[in-house]
Amino acid sequence: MRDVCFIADVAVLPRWLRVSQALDYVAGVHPRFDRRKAEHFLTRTDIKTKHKVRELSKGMVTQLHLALVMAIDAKLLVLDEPTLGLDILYRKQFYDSLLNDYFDRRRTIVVTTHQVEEIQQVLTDLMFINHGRIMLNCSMEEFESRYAEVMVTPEHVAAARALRPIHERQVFGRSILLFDRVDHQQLAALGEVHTPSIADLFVAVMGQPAPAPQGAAQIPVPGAAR
Amino acid sequence: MNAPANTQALDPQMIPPVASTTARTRPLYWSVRRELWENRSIYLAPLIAAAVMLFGFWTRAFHLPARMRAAEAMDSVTQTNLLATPYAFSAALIMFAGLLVGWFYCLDALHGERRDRSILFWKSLPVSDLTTVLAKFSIPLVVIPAVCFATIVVMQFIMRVLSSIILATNGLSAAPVWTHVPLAEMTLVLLYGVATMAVWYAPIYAWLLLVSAWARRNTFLWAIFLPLAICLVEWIVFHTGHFSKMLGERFNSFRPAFDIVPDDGSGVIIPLSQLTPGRFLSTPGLWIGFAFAAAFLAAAIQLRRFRQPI
Repeated sequence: MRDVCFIADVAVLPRWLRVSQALDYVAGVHPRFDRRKAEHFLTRTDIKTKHKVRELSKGMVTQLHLALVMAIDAKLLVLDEPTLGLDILYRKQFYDSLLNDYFDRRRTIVVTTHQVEEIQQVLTDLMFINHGRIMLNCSMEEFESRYAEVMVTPEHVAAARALRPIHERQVFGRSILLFDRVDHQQLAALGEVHTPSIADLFVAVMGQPAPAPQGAAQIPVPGAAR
Repeated sequence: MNAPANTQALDPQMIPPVASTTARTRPLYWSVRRELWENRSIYLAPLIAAAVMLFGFWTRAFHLPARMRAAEAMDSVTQTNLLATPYAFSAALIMFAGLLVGWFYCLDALHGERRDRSILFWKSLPVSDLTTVLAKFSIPLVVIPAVCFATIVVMQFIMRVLSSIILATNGLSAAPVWTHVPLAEMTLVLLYGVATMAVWYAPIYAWLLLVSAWARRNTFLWAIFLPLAICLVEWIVFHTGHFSKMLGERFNSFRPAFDIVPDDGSGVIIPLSQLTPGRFLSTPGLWIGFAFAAAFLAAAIQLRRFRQPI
């Protein structure tokens, strides 16, 4: 466990633990923990060393846990739903801290999250897997050039449907269609064109029948950040 | 250890690089300290019990001069008993408080961390299950007896001083307090008694730790009723009471440790001559108990490795 660290869930820090005790304990127990660095991270927050975990809000507990973990020189960091239940400020700060202060090319971070839009910016490749079958596998550049979502004005809906979208949904009476490998100039004539969110693409792709099996055996998750 | 005095916007260059050399760690020491942080009753319960005892002793001590004058007419044994009973009684009560704390601590030790899921935090750090369980085992085995011993010694010293003051201010000699309730001898006997009791009870503590590692709920009920069930089954099927006899012996550490001779003239004070360390160490029950304790602990370690949070 010296080279691996994980945050299972934000609620796992024991509620009786004081911040100073947490620092003492991890410093006394983990050979790669740098106490000064952890205290550095904590100075950015409202957390005082005499606070107990039960006195902190959920976001502050996450900040504390992350401060402890980021001061550990681990080769692999595994985060399981780290921002679940946090408000926007804490969520944004979480990934900013993680990527700016902790991540260097030597380390690997594995994050599981349902909030795909948060990690969308950091992805280089995208892979959709459904029951062991790869439904989609592309780089982010390809994703941006290949897929387009169009909010179609009502008079153009029929023409848009003729171009064979892979998905259609209605939002407040307007149709939003998702296209794969259709010329963007053509689509621009039909309405506003923009890159779809990964979540929308996921819904669109997972609704389709599976292609021929390609032999990837992994749990269905929309993507992985490295 | 010094945090920067003023925090400007932190840029990455200002953050000190993580030390790449690994520092020496003391997992067992810090695990024991963590247990003390979490369970303050380990040292608070004996202290509170001692405070209550001292208060009771102090209120009764005002009658001491009258009783001493009456006791001068009595023989040595009655005098000794008169003086020494509060010491023995209060020591026994503090030991009992320590025992209770130890038992309830063990029942919750490996259960509470699964219940509040903090086990996921503890296991994310490089502290092995062996170290953790040994640290938890050392609390009732070493820490609580040590705390009780220290508390009793200090409390009894205060009692002696209080008695001496009250006797002296009433014109009586305080010498009987120090001769009939000898400090050094009693402290040695106490140390021996505390140590033998702790060691004799080791399999009980290990059993409680195992139940706390195994049970999902109601650890107390499982810990009590499983042995009782065995006694019952043995009685019903074999009409024998070996298991219950063994249990009874397990709760009484005085039998193998001391050679208690009633009515030998020393009353409630156990003289040094009645200590039998040789016999204690050669009792097979002691070593069988250790074997069971080791087995229970090994099972608890395995359970902690694989059990999920509740």
